[in-house]
Amino acid sequence: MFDALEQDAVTELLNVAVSRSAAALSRMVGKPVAMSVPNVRILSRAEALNAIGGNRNTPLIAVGEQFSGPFSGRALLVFPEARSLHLVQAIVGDQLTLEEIADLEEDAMTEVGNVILNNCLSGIANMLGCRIEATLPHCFQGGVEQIFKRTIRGDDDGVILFMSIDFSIRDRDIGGFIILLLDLNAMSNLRSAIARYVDGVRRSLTDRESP
Amino acid sequence: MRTCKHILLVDDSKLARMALRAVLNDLGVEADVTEAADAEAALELTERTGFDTVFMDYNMPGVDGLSAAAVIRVRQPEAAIALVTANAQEDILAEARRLRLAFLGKPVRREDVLRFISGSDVAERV
Amino acid sequence: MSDPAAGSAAVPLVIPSVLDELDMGVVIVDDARRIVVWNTWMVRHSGISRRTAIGAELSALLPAMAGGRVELAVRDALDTGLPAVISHHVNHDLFPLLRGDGMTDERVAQSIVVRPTRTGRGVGCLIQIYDQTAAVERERKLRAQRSARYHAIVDAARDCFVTVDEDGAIWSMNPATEERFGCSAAAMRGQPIARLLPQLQDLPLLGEPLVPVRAVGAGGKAFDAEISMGSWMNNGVRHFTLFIRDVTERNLAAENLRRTERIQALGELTGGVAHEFNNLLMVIRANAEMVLAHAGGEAAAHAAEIVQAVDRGRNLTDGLLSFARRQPLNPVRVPLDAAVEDIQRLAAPLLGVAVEIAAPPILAGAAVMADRTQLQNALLNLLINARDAMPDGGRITITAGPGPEPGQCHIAVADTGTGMSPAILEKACEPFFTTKDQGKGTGLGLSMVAGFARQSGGDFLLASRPGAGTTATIRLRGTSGDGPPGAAADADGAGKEDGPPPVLPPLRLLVTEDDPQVRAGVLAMLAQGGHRTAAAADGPDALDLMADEDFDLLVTDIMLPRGMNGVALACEARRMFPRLAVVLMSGYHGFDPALLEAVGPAAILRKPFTRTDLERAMAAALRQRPRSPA
Repeated sequence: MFDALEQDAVTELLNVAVSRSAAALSRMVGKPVAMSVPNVRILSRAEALNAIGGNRNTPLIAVGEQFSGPFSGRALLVFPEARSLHLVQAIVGDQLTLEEIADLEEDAMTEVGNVILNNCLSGIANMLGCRIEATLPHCFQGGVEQIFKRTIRGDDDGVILFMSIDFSIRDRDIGGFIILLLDLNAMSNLRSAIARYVDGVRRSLTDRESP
Repeated sequence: MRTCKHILLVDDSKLARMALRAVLNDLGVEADVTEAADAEAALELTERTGFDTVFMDYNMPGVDGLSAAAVIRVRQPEAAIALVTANAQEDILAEARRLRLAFLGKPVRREDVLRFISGSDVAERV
Repeated sequence: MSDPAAGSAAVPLVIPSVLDELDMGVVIVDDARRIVVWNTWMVRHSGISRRTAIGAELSALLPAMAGGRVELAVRDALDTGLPAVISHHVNHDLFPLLRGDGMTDERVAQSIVVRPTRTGRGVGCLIQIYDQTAAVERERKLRAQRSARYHAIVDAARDCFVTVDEDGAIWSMNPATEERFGCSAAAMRGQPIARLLPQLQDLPLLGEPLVPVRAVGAGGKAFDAEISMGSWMNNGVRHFTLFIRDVTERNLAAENLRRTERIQALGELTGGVAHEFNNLLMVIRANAEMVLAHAGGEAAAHAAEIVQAVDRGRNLTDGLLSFARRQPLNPVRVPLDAAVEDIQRLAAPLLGVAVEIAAPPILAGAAVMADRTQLQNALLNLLINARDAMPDGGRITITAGPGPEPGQCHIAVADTGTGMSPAILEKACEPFFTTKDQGKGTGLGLSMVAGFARQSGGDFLLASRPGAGTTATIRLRGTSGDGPPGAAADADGAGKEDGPPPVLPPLRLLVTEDDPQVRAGVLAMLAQGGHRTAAAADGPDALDLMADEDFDLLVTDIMLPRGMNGVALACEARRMFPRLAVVLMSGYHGFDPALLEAVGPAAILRKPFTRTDLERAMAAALRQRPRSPA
């Protein structure tokens, strides 16, 4: 699908995107956010389903946005619910009880998801020098199948840019996944955007070295 | 203008190294440019070779850029080192300041690199 | 508003009047980040007039919001076209708005949507502000109601309640948990449950119905805990509430019960064996005495040996019966001070010079109801055990007094000896258990003491640690009665006093005993007194005989076959002959003392007995028999 340099470009693109998300999250939490290097894969819907893994009934919380621009698709941030409660607790502080946290979890997760996804998308836009717009985020809860059914239709012929991300805030691990769903058209647009970017870099190198 | 003859580029992304090289070319920087694909390789290089300018990616597999920069700062106290990352967290910025590192946001911008190599920049861009 | 068709140049001119009708805040900024719309709702709640707001930059108008979430979201919306949702739950730096409803000066809890839009000049940003105050208040009240009920139960509970999530991280704990484990809920929040209960390291344990663990509580003190778990879902996440109950005492009680039951079973067994054995001893003794009476020389010497051996055998069965709680006791009021003083005097020669014995003063008037002799034996046993636990000498302390329970008194013998391991301690009260070298004791010591205590309505406790000595405590019913010590009637009046055997007139005797050898033995003992004797094997036979002739005295075994025991026989016989004297023979006394009372005055004779014992019992029975109504 991508050649080595393009694959490198996709990884770097998303690395930059997730780094911005980590910075934004840190600003939001007011605490350092440690982050692993994201692991980027291109998967089918079924493969992504498996990659989220765990028990199919493990409750998850997901925040999704639709985005449009040179390439359009859906962006989804997925956390296991138990992790998301840790995340919400890290954000709103220790004073609240479990019930209070559970009550505001959806609100808080929507906002956190929004911040992470927006930074991710704006990172990509920035790198590729384009503009990406998005809808307001929605929050979904349920098992992985349920969430996929509502966000990634079975008949989607698209591919999924699948990232495992590992944040940790104050020793609380809140690993989750970022999913970018692109249909074939969007994928080829992304490829050409990346190819243009790679070309641009290549050209500016050779222009200088070979006169 | 600072001396800028021996440059080390550290980034796990080949493309990121190429992009930075392209910017340096574009700015007309004449220097030896050495590349390292991870922090370990960078640490090995700085053991033997002196560099006056280092561009260090932050988020890399294995040893992160900040830890590597801390070691290089000890070995080569005079080198100008820039931490290159989109992860502009306050505590990372603070650590960078403590190590006297410049801070370059990703994607790197021509004017930021110019300010860094010309030595007019020690203040970081967030 | 996000519909581009509705945007364009129309917005600042026409729409504001509609915007002013809205029950929400609407702010629009242009691409230069200057405010172009500030609706009436904003004016009302911010106190900032439209004139001041329009044309100003947001961060200049409201410096507190500079660099905050809203400003960053506006920047994103303008620069990249990305919208944002912002919630008061997560942020503290939102618009400084007051409710301004004339009632309160509360701040407005806001949720904000920031999205790109178009203005007359091109790209802009729409900020919608929703008032969430009422919803927040409603939530708060609901939550307060819910948690008030919850906390009323949980905070007052003496059991520990801990709530953990699926990952085993602690979310909350009740005050009982803080106290039990010596930790604070605030510090434990988010910590793994394994910090409290290392056994729960394996999370699959979560969800098991009941988990017994050994836990370490405040001050490092270990206790037995039983954990039951309830799991519940909150927003789709499974949580577990752990109920941790300290079952140390319950386990201890169960363990004691188990030991008591085992000892009781042993008691049944030994009691039965002793009873049979007493019958055998009885036969041997009676026949040996006969030989002794009739033979001379060497044969008489051998017979005397046999009698001596039987007496030693009787001591052994006494001990067994005492353990089996079947030795007849004669409880009287025993003042503690006197009992302790007596035992010190009695034991002094046995203890040797290396052992020091001390007894702190005992509360005057403290007294127990107990068989004086058996209490003395029990204390003697304890003192000898204490001595043997201190081969190199040491100190014995006897303490006594009221308590620990009301209506109870205790006597404790503590030594500074070698102590016992838990394994030995557990078995110490079983019969035939001994740590002494073979030949040094029968192993009945502590089991007898425990049997005596239980039979007297009290109990016996041993506390010991290797190297830390042993404390043996007898707890008995106390008595407040002022009656003279030992005033209660001596029910076992026969055979106690020494002196020459009484001289009995020739009597008409009926012997009832089911064991033919014992029967023959008793008849042989009676043969020399010039009495007229008849014998029966059971109650109905005996009554038949009594129907035919008169008797002065009935000597009957208590345990008889054919549905009529010796007590019932005696009652029936007394009904026919009210002046009949009665001697009850007993291998052991496993019957209801109330039945004995029904018989009226009677002498009790414990097997095995000598001819002299029998004659003394007969004399006592004759003395005690009811007077003639005449």
